[in-house]
Amino acid sequence: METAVPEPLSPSAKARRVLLVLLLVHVAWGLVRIPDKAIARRRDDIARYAERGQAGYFLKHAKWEGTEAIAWIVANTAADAAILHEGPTRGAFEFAAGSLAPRLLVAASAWAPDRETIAGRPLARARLGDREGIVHLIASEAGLRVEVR
Amino acid sequence: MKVEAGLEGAVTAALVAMVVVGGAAFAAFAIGAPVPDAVLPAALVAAAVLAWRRLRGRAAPPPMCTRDAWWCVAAAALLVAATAILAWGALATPSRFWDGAAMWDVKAALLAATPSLEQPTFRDPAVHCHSRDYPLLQPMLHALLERAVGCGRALFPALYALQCGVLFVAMRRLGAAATTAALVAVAWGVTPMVLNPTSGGIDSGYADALLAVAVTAMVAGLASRDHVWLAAGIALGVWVKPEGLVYGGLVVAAAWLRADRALLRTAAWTWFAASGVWAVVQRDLQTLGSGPVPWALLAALAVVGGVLPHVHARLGTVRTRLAVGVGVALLLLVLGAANAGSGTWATYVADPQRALGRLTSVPTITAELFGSAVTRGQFGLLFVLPLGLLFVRGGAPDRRWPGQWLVAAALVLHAPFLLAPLDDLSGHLRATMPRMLFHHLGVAALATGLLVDRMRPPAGEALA
Repeated sequence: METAVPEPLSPSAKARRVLLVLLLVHVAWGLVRIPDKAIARRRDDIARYAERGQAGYFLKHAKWEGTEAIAWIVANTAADAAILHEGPTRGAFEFAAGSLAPRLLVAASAWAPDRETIAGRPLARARLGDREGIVHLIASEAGLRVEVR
Repeated sequence: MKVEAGLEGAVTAALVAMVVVGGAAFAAFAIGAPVPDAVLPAALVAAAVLAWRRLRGRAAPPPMCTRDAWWCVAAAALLVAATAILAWGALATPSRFWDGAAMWDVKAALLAATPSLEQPTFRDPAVHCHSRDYPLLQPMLHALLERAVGCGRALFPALYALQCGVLFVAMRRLGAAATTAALVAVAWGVTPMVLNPTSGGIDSGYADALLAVAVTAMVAGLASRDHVWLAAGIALGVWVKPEGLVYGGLVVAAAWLRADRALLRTAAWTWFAASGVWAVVQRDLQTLGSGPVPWALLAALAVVGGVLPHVHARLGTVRTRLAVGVGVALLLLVLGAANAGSGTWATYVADPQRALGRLTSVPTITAELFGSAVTRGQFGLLFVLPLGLLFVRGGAPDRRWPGQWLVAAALVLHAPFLLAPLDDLSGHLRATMPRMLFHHLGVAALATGLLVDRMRPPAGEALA
């Protein structure tokens, strides 16, 4: 009884087989990571964001101060207000615009003391402790803090 | 097959619609008018009509057997599931990564509230605006979608689905088997950098996903000689991120050196036109609406863009074309630097001495490039497999574009790290290089797929 002997594969067919196997390894590598990385990590990120809010999510992760300052401004100023800011605009400050929107962040150096509006918006005024005045967001390497002057 | 033709039409329509939205929005910005909400539906209708008319005149895709069709259905089901994961990630919260939250989301929210540059953030220098002169296509798309349907962040999973479609259709147009085309789309779609929650990933809110689509479309357009895809990819690239301007210029340079007049004409006209449109808006953003239109730059772009395709035939040797090309590139760099003012471009092009002083860092940059691409796992094997091209000769010239693009991209990706003002090069490399490689991941998938397909045995030989 004769048995069929398969034709040997050409070099290009062998190379293709290797490439296909590697491509399938790549796909398998991606697929096995989906439950842990694509789903579980995303779920954790979303849960942490929901728990901390935007400011807390970013600032606490980077070990910056400022979550409470952002929350205080949101709770105590009008949504259409302009918030004066001082300090470096890199680092923790970068998240302030998104967390405080639709409020505008305006450089304190651009404000003249006799003006109650800036950039077409009313200046944010509030009481903090025993002091009432204009709200300032102060940025530093440590994070963000709020002052009323 | 009707489904395949429909997919091709939908992919082309989506690419063209985004270009129409960008062009209309930037024209509105340039004249100080708000962007009408009707722009988005009008762009979709216009793009769908164009795609349908193109389809009528095209040859049907290669036939697909029943077994291949089932493989494609399985791949599509997998990619739909992945799109659902990304949609969940995108819609559950605003951006959860740095630039997405600090810049892209903020601009999208501003434009969703008022789709115009005539608002304090873009007009008052005292009002904080992160990266004020950055391209605005993605925030505009996000904003118009938000205004139209209330979920602008659906843009991100849609971009993922679009990129998978671009890869599948491009592979089929290049003659690949349907199973290979589907495998390429899946290979890109399950790559950790694409699917995982990562800085620069699809639902991170960054603009790198849109730029990745643009780069893949432009290279696929080159390889399949599809002038609509080529033009759409270039325009999208220029309007979505500063790197896109460089990638578009790379396409023009490649077509110039290849002396391919038809591709050169499309690439040059699109790149110069898109750059000109963006230069007007960029100048407006930098000068807070008070600066003059950069007529000198626009005139130079129009002249160079118009003349290049006509003179290339007279410059017979590659050496001559190279010399002229370098001269034109330097001229554009000087004009670009002059137009850049104090904006994003200026930080890169204002001090050429910096690049010379940092040449000793080239080995560090190269090592990080290969480290990110190959050894860290975030791209799986997709940047490794195209290395097989080194061992394969022959093949149609147009099918070599993806491989050649990867080589050029590896060189170009050194430039921002040589030119940028950095205190911490290694930290910046680690943070930025993966995102820059991500732009070219679709091209790597195409190169891999074409390599596999090139070695496809003739009909009758046993498949591996």
